[in-house]
Amino acid sequence: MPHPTYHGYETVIGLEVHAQLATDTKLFSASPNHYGDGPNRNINPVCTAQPGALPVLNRKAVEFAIRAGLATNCKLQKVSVFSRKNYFYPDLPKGYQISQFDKPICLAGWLDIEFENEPGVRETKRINITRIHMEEDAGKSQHLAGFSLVDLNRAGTPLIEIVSEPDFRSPAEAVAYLKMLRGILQYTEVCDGNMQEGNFRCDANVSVRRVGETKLGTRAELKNINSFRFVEKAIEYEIQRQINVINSGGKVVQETRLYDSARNVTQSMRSKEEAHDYRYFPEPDLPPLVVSDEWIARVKSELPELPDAKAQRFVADFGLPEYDAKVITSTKPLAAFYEKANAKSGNEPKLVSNWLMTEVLRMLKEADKEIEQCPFPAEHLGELVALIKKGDISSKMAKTVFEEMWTSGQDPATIVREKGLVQVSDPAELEAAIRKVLQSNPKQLADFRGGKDKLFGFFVGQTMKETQGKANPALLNELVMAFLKGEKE
Amino acid sequence: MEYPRHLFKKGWEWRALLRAKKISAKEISAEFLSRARADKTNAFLALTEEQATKAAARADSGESGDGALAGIPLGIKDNLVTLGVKTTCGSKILSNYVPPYSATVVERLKKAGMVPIGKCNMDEFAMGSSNENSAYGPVFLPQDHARVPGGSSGGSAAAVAGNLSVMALGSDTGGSVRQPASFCGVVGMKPTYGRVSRYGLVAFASSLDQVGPLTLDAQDCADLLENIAGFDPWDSTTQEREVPRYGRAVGQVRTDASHRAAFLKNLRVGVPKEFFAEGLDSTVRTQVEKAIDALKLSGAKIVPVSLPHSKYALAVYYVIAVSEASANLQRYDGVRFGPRVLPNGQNTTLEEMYESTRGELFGKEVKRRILLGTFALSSGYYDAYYKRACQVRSLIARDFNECFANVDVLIGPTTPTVSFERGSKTSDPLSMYLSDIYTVPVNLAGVPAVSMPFGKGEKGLPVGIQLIGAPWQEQKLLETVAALECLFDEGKGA
Amino acid sequence: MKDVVNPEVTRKIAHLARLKLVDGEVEKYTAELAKILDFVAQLSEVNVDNIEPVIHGIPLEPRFRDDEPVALSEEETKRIVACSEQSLYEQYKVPQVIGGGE
Repeated sequence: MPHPTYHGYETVIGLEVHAQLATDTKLFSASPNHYGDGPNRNINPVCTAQPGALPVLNRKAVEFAIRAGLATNCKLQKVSVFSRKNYFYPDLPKGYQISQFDKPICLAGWLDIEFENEPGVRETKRINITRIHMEEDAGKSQHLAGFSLVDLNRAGTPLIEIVSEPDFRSPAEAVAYLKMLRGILQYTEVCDGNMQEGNFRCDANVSVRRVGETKLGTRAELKNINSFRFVEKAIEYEIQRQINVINSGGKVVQETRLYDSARNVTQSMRSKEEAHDYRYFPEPDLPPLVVSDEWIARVKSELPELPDAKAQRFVADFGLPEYDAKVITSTKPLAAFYEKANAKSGNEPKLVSNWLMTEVLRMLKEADKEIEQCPFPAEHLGELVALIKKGDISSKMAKTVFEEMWTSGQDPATIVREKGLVQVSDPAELEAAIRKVLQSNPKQLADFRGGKDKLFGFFVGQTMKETQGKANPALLNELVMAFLKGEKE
Repeated sequence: MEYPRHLFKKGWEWRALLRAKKISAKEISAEFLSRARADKTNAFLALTEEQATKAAARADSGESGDGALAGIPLGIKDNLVTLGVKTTCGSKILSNYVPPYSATVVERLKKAGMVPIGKCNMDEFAMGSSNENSAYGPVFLPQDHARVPGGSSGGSAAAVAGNLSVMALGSDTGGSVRQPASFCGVVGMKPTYGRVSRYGLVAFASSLDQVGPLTLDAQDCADLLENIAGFDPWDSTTQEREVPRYGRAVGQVRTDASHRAAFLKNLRVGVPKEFFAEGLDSTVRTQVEKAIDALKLSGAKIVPVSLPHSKYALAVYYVIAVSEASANLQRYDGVRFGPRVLPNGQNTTLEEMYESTRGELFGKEVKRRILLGTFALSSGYYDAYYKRACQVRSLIARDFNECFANVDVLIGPTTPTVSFERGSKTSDPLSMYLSDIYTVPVNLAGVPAVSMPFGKGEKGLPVGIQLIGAPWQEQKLLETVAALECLFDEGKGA
Repeated sequence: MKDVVNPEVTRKIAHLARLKLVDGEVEKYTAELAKILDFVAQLSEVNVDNIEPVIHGIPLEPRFRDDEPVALSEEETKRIVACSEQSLYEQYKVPQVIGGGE
């Protein structure tokens, strides 16, 4: 498939993801790695860069980096080196960040993504990952009127930076990759992937060029994008902005731009063009990082089931279609939600999958929520399916129950009971209702008996109304037919 | 002037008196504190009288145990952080810094019962060879107040040489313990890189810095080293190697003549020809040759050796050390500690605060080295300067390794001259740097070395000879120093 | 080397290092830097073909830390923050940051 074009231009996008590692302590200091505590509580002399303090590497952070590298098909480097990246900023206490520069821990990986550039047209593509390296996060600054406040709780948090080749040709591809990458990091329990808390951050390098041009255009770096929807919108805006600049005779400036989600624009971040000379050099306070074959093998053997394998298993065990299985296993929380719901459903994996994909995901998307924020627990969905299977409620009624589950968070059985939504499947009760309807509509009965077969639907509809929509549809049809045929009175 | 070794009591001599209850730690600390208070050499930036009194009491009560350092007065160079006690590194940029933690070596010494007399003056951020770069005034050589004690651990060396403390801790990056030891006529040691924890030692050049003892003799040096050495989980560059019983080993050489004789007969001593080239003062050369002769007479094997790349060591050092320093000093910006300079009062911008704080509160030598280091690492120059220096460093280290395949220790002068007059080298940075010509290769290679006094040179000033050991061979090194001390006492160095 | 280091270069380096240089200092440091770099230039005569650069004279052993948190007490963390000349609500207070950062 040819790349999407934008008024005679195409776009080239590269992505850099910073993922916080879910360790208990920071990368080089034993301070707790924990979000949400009071300012400057998770600190010690090391992460506040007191004179004389020294870094000591967290073994678990390395292990997580190895996991991430294995799960993205990277080549693990036996020997990698930490380097100092020197610059001045109040949230960078040492005046340098300990990162990896010329010798990162992972090189040359890839992920195969699935996406739709045109609605309904599913494509796959391999995205190459240039490198993954380890580094420490900076603290947080808060900008107030005339001054800034700095909290170093986050300073020193372990990060992996995952850099892709500029292989993306549309925002949709970028989002598909980011979702997949986040899913994998969550699956391997390397990162929580909580974008609101800032532990999965994406920067996009975006450039445009005329279709047919092989040289890369000047790129702008977009930062401060903390949801997938904003990634898509920010890139879309930027593509258009750059095209407008070129079309009006200007030149795209290589710069950093911040995405403003309220106004849906990107804005230049630097007031003046700052040449960054980071003066990288190998960190003399740390030995080189040596990762043995044995260590890599052990981590590989302990890797949890990755999405692809899980999807195959869902197809085999639950008979799900491959597409459905892929969607449901795309993130760990979603797959876990499915498995929990399925366990309560009375062995209706396909029905659970349908409900999950058509109803639950739809409502989540409309509310811009993730599965972790679903207002009801997975078990409730399973119970709902079980009720449908048992015949306690009809599929149509189930939709009503579902909506109530969403808004109230109550479990389905309670909702059904309190709202009196139990399906009527008692033949005697239905027959009584049918008799009532027939007695109330003698003209239509005579017309039906006179040959107007279409009135069958009328009687079904009226009886359904009589039972406040609770009649078991299949049984109702059967009984109405029996009455109309004269088999019952 | 007589050498302090013969006048002042060593730590092990004080310990004997303490054990025999002939004197109390309280009396000892009072005596040293009183001398420190009256000191005219500016060896101390601050006295820690309260801590000293408490420590002396703990020593007297037996709480500190019966180790070699219990109750012994010690000076601590002011680039070792001390919890609750101001630590300035000889700089204005830390003039009000009271650290929230203590260096590992300080904690170990506290446990061992040492009595802290005070924080010793030093060249600012350990950058200097004369202690003329302190923001708090220069230190004077105790033997001649018009001269320099050496640097950067000038205060620590002057404290020991002036009998203001029995021992002191210094730090050595390019010779900053050994060179002042040489000028002041005391023993000064730089251990193998990684032997002693740097946690809490304010960094100058991370791959070169080591904490080192300054003492009156080899026995005290061994005892002090034994108490500070060893793996520290807070310093990734320390090694998990057992700490030998340095004190006992040196004691044996010192007190057992036949053991000493056997040791000397088995000793192979290398003499690097590069350390005896031009620039070496003749009176210094004379003393070193006397030491070599004394060793030879005792049966040690003297082997001519070569360190061919050592002549590049100073150039390598002034790329690597300044590069690492430029990064290590980026944290001094007024944000989290130290004073702030706000040139426009409340309207000062962040950038102005950074530039004025650092511009006004760092001294000249520090700024010079930061600029040099920033340049050497900057885009376009990294390969030609920093990378190349690291390659030559490899060759310098290799030279030492090759020597130690055939000899146990190397011998040479510590410095090319005796102490010089204050102000005589300050106009030309390079001439000051040349003072470290024999000490710097040692830091680059990471090997251990000791400077010990060996007689007098020009104008009756102390001469230091440097003994260099193979990696982790501090014991052999200190045994050699102890043996040489005995030979000197026997009149072999006069 | 006189071509490499000139007042403009010195100013650029001083800015990278956030060192304010006043009148006369630019020229003085330029001259000193040039002299030292001249001295350092002797390194170019050493044959370093196939020589790996080293960061330490002695090879270091790998060193790791277990992922066990060591939390400081509130008193201890307050003491750290209190080292700063200006703090507010337990945070470091600085003049407003304009742009910059990563």
